[in-house]
Amino acid sequence: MSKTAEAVPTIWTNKRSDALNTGTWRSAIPVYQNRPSPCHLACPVHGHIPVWIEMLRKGLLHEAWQKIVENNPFPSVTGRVCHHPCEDACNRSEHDANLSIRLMERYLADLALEKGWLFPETASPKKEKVAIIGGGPAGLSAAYQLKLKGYTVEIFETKPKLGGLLRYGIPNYRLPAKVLDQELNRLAKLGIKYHTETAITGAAEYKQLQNKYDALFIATGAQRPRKLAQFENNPETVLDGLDLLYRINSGQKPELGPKVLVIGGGNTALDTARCAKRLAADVTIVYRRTENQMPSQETEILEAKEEGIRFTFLASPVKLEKENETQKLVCQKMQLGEKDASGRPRPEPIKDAFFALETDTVIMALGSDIETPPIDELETQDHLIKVDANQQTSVKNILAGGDLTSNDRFVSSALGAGKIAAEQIDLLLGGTGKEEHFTGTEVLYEQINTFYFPKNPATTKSLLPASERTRNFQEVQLGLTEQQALYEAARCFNCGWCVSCDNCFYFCPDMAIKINNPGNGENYTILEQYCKGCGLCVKECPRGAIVLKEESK
Amino acid sequence: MKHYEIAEEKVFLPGHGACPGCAMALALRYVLNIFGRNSVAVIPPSCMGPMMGAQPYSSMLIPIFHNSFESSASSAAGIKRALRARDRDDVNVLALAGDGGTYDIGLQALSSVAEHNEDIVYICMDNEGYMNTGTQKSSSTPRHAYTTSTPGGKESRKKNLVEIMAAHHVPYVATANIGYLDDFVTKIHKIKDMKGTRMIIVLIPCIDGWGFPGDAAATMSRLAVQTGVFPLYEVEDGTKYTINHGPEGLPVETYISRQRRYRHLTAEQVSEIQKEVDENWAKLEGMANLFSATM
Ligand SMILES: Cc1cc2nc3c(=O)[nH]c(=O)nc-3n(C[C@H](O)[C@H](O)[C@H](O)COP(=O)(O)OP(=O)(O)OC[C@H]3O[C@@H](n4cnc5c(N)ncnc54)[C@H](O)[C@@H]3O)c2cc1C
Ligand SMILES: Cc1ncc(C[n+]2csc(CCOP(=O)(O)OP(=O)(O)O)c2C)c(N)n1
Ligand code: SF4
Ligand code: SF4
Ligand code: SF4
Ligand SMILES: [Mg+2]
Repeated sequence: MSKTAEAVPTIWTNKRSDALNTGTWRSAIPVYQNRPSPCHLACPVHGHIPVWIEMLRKGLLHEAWQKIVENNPFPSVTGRVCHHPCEDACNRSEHDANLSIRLMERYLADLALEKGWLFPETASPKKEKVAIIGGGPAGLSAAYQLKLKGYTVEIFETKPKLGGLLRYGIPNYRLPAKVLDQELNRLAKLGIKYHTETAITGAAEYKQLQNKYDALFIATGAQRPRKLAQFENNPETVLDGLDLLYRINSGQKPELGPKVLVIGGGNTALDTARCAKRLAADVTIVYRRTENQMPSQETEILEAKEEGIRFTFLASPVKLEKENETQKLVCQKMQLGEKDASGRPRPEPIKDAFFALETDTVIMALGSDIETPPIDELETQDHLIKVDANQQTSVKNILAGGDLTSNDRFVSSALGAGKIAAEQIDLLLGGTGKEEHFTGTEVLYEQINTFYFPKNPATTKSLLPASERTRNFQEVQLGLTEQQALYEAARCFNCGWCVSCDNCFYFCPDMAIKINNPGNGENYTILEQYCKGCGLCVKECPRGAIVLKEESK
Repeated sequence: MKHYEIAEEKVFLPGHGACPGCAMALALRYVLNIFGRNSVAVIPPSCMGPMMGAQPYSSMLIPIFHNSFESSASSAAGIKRALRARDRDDVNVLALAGDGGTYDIGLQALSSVAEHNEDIVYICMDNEGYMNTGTQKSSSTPRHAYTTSTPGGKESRKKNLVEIMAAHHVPYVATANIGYLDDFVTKIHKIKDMKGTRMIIVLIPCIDGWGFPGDAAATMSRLAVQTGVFPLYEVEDGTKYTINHGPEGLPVETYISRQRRYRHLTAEQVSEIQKEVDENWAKLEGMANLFSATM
């Protein structure tokens, strides 16, 4: 012992408490986690939404866009037409109103087009080759992911241009062709080989591909329109919805009678009706169920109504009748009965209850079915190609996805299936497959510390006025301004995603949290010598990025 | 979210003896780290004892004088005068006391110090009872709260110490808590730059004494404000009122129902408390309107 130490009277406090180990009091310890947010889990491409929203908020716009395109090569497309299940799942909806994730995505994606931002460099080339049949969103998404990983990728597509229903289904007023073209051009720069106007239909062709390529991804969609037999022989009056959209989207202006009836309640029905309205017709949608059972998106129904489209619900077409010079569609009245397989009440005809609607053109938009590729041992299930959770079919090294394998007929679902298929093909061909970015459980609203989030209303979305819409195919939904995008980004809780706010550090009564140097991996370290396991840091993390783990000593 | 300014030098050290999740330790962290090494503190018997740590260890890198229970204010004033006599007027002198040592037994010394406007900082760690000795009631314990010495609930109301201090026309008296860290830190910085008798009454929800989960001290602090039970405000020179955070329309029930010390309450008693809170708030708002600091 030194002299000075001896000189200090023993009743003096001369030692620092930080030599003590109060960590022994603890029975649980906080652990930092990147937990999955509800929006991430609901997103069919599993976008890292809270991550890119944080970047957007910080003004790191290019980085935010790069984060988005890790999972989705066409954010300008999904930013317009995605059915946004992420927004429906958003925790903020329990607080004030959910975030406009789709419009923030569109903001960044359109900025990328304006700035000419490119996809990342592809990895060094691998020797394995993958053939993709069908150049819609499912096929293109798989091609993109595989190409980034370094595979040789070739796409076979029937039509003269790529895009599938993005090009030939969804009309310009919802997805301008120019936007699609720009996103496809950016993809083309990656060096994927395209064989357009090359339909793969015969068994021999498939056999050839199987021999020549290491893996196949089939994404030919659901192209075969459903029909009603009694309307088959009337090509003058009765048109097919998908075919009509194909013609309009190819630049034609089909002649439609002044009085148009559209039969159906899905995407095709809504879009053909709105197209017909733009071709100067009087349009009524005839649907056998009621409005809230329509499979199309709510906003679309609203916009269609604004455009003057009428609806006749609980009606089913029976036959066409001609009386003098006027043509009529005879319909039977329906009523709702027991629930069917889709969980919706089944429409049942009311006996002897008929009525007639005057018409010049009837457009059938009753949905579509798949063509089963002629491959031995390729199993189907419920009129779809059967796949497992990794998009693997019953045949080795053949995967399938998109409308061909699912009744979730959505663009983002197709993109997600393509991504999953690419990860699985990578695994089959010796790669690492899927990467896990998140750990732990979904962040619930109850785990958000709402004190840190004052209530703020959602951004108001702007539309082209209805009066300016019906004479042209100009885009109806408008994007966000920079200011609006930043405002929305500031509303995000960033559920489960640590944004380095340091709040946990500031709330520890035991100074047991150390802030690490930026870029040193983990942002914070729990000092086990001092942490008493109180959980205050966990509770005060605004976004549920820390959890308390029990410790057994 | 705001980043709180804490002096680089950490004056309050880990390894201290506070209960896990204690709001008093967190409050102390900001008081000591902001006032810094050039400070001396007096500490009467209270939870501040375990906070300092067991002999010969200390969690506070400044000289501490353990005074008698009743003499915190006068001890601090004496030390300040002695320092001034030795030309060390630059040293901050802090009294860090509990509510028992302030509202009850130290009140006479405090009143005298306030009357003389002695140049000290007085931080009252108000956990609404004698907690270090096992939860006895003080004159700061609110009406109807259970303590071991009021097993049927306390019958009288909580003493309003802010008004007592304001009546002395001290330069500064304020309420604060760790639920509103930015407000708290702003107030500490503010009094560091002032002279004369300055006081902050910090509401310290006591995990054990009030009975609530160990991770909820900040939540409880906020509920106290959001229900109007403990508004955060400042009174300068006895007349200038500033309300920082007041009730947000939450009923007192949301605060009370989360604490074991109120477990025995009848609906009638809850509405009595609600009435008292509403009256207090109306009075405070009235004072703030009459004597607004911004006038
Ligand atoms: C009118 C309409 C509007 C829609 N609106 C929306 C919307 O707003 N939001 C939304 O999320 N979803 C919408 N959808 C659904 C969405 O477009 C589809 O779910 C999605 O495009 C499916 O992608 P896919 O790649 O599986 O198929 P598709 O997009 O159909 O692409 C399949 C591709 O394969 C090609 N192909 C077919 N057979 C062969 C073959 N034998 N050989 C080579 N190539 C072949 C086709 O030409 C086509 O290019 C809409 C659908 C329609 C019809
Ligand atoms: C004169 C005197 N009476 C009683 C005690 C015993 N005693 C020590 S701490 C304490 C409780 C102090 O209560 P409070 O000031 O509210 O501080 P807390 O413990 O609640 O932090 C008591 C009564 C004492 N130390 N000195
Ligand atoms: S608040 Fe943000 S992170 Fe949380 S669900 Fe909504 S968009 Fe996703
Ligand atoms: S606040 Fe501090 S002591 Fe409490 S659990 Fe978190 S790190 Fe541990
Ligand atoms: S409190 Fe802030 S810094 Fe700490 S984990 Fe949560 S988000 Fe990250
Ligand atoms: Mg006390």
